[in-house]
Amino acid sequence: MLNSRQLTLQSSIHYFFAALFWIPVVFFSLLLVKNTLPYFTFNQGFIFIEERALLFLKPIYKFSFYCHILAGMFCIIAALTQFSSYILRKRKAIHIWMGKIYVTVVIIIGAPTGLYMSFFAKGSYWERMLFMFMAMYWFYSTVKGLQTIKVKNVLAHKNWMIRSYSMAMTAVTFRIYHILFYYFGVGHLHNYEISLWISVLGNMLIAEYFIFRKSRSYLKTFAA
Amino acid sequence: MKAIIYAGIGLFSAASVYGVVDYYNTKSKGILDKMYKEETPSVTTKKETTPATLSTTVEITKPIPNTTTAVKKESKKLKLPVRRIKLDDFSRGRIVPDIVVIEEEIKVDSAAVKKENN
Repeated sequence: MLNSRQLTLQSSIHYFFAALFWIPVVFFSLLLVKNTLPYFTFNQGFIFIEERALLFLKPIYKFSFYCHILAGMFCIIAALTQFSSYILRKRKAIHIWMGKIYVTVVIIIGAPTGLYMSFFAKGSYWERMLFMFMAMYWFYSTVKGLQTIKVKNVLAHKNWMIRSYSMAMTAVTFRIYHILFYYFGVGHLHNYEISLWISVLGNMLIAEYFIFRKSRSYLKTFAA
Repeated sequence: MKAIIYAGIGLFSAASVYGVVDYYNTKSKGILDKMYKEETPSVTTKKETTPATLSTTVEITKPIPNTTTAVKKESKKLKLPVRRIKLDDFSRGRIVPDIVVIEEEIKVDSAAVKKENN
């Protein structure tokens, strides 16, 4: 049995590590949104667009790109509210509505446009396959998250939505690795490929770790 | 919500089929080969030398006590790519290094220059 001091220390440590995780997540998510907004001036002078100038001559690619980045912005913003225990307990309506926005945007816009654009992604055949896998996994995990909450399976819903969010966050983690490897002098194409693989596989591993940690008490019931 | 799932599956299937068709069309036109070419960053060197006539007049009017004391300054400008982290680089696009011009002043032995001029 823990005394009140130990309990206070325990909760302080918990809040400290939660802040250590969420402050960078929120900061980089908002930075991504801030850096995405200028694309809606429809100016073609961005490096990302210049690299794909030939693809941007296709109206369908251009349309997919703008839809995809718009969807990405909504997803990142909507998802930030979804993991707050305060919102979940006290403002459940926000959780439900933001969740509906997230799921609709991912299933209707984000994943299909991402899949189409993955055919023309930068890198080798394997990087294109990885982008395709990302789109599929993002779509599948979001659908599963929706289906599980419809049958009131909250634990499975949480797990699938963590997986879905991990795929959405590859946009953020990729950029962090990309800048870090650039700073350490890795050439652009290698940097792009390495950052992509690390961001996808790393996010999946982190998601599975969180799921394991959250489900530990539930899994213990099987052992008893 | 079922409607959203069905619409999503439809769009996803359409995207995959159209993606495959469009990919092979684009590939046959050779567009994919032209894209994403990596350019090697170049370092340009620019030398600015003072005109030879100026250095000779200076040498005529002033006595040269020692060959190493009379010097001519030659400036050398180096344009170097410098890696700096900016918040604007937080994107999927290529990160372009800043070009910083470094000016170096090199002291040149005037006796040697005179010899070269003669």
